[in-house]
Amino acid sequence: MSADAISVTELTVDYDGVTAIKDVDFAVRAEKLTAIVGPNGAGKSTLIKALLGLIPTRTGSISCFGTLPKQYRKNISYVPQRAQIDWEFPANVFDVVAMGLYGELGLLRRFSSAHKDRVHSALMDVDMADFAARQISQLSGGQQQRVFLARSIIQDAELILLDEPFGGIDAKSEAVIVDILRSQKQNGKSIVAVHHDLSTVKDYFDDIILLNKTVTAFGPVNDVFTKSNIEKTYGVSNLDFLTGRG
Amino acid sequence: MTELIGYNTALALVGALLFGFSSGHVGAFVYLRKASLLSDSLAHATLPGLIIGFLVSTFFGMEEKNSWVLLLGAGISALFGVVVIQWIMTRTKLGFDTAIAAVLSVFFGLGIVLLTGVQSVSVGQQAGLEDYILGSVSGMLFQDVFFIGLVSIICSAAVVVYRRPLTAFIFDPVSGEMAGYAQHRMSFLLSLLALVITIIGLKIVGLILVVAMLTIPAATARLWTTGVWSMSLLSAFFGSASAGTGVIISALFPSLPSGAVIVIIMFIALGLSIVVTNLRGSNV
Repeated sequence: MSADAISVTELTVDYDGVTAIKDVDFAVRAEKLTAIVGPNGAGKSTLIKALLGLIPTRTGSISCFGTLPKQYRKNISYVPQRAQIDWEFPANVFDVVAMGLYGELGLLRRFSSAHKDRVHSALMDVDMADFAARQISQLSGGQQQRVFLARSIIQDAELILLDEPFGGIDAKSEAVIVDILRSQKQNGKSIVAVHHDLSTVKDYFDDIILLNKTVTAFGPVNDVFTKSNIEKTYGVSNLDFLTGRG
Repeated sequence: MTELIGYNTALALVGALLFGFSSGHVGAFVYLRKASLLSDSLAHATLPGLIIGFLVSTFFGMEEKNSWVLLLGAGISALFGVVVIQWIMTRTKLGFDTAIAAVLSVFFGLGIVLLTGVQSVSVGQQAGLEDYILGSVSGMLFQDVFFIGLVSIICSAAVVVYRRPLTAFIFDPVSGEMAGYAQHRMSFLLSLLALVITIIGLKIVGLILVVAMLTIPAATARLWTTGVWSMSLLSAFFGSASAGTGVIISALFPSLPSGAVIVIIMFIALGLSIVVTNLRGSNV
């Protein structure tokens, strides 16, 4: 509960030749669930890519527990948007979770029975143990997301970054995923998720970063997730549609 | 064995079996990466370099069968094609498919013009050049087979060593990069393997059809398997069996180009697989 998991200072990032985020400052508290929220085109995915150390930054700095993202990579696990994955890929649930061990296994180390046990244990954590042999093309959206969470859990990373973990999944799966994220938080993990549904922000997250090219506000949801900050981030005209319980 | 089918055919058969295995093995990953079209443009872009290589070797009075110079030319030419594709994509608004189609047709057209020129002035034994376009195993030498076999084994070994990074790269490139395998490095590795397979396959299958070696066995194997590793091994088996059978048929009927025969055999296997897997309902 001490240091910041991530701290970002005056960060500007260009993506595809345009400035996607500009002069961004924020901090992410360790061992909290943090939402990144903002309208389409606000630069949320660019910010995630920068936090993963995948794209060059123009100015400013990012630090993950005091080090550069690239050097911290082994301690970050990333859960992509489901839509970015080809679910027709020939793999079953077990195979995908095992991919979480690729960094640790390296090129040639044998996949031992201890590794196998870890895959099964991660699948138990997300309540998917019965699906180990199921082809990923035959999973529902919520199940796909849980498989990715198991892959993330098995990496035992300190920092978990998720790109829209609740995108296009049913309410029941959403509740299961929230429970998994909360238990990961209890285990001392720091979690950051791009999130779209403003009505669930207060229920799911501890902290929030409001982003629209630049950070309009960040901090604990109770302090920062206010009508005026949402207006500032989304523009007034959208407000009735967006606020919900916010 | 050699008494039964003759020394030259036995030699070609060994080369075809090894090359077929390796091309199927690599091809599984090319197929999953959906890079078949890129491989095809690579293959067609080899033609100008092939003929320039031929001219160079003739000019310096090397043996007309000096395939090293020809294959080197083919490789350089294909690499240049890739550079042009990259250049078109970064410098213009044209899409990937347009860039590929432009390079494929222009390089091949340039190659045909050069080939026609070479044939009209009739230097050396141009007959040998056509072997690289449609594939022919009739004139294969021990050194050719040794080279093709050795490089095939190296390519398959590379697939074995890099199976995890390649799988992660194709399925979820960002997570692969987070595990320590940068996307540009994996993309380079896969392109390099496809290029090498294309070059060593020129003699057996010919440049027009060599892309089929990287595609059809993989597509067939995909119908029968549910994992990357089993798919790549089955694809290697299909590639090897088809190439071997094709070489034998082509040896029995020397007027049939080996490349076309191999492709027809592979297609029959694919067709049967589609029918059978559909009947079984196991088409995943």
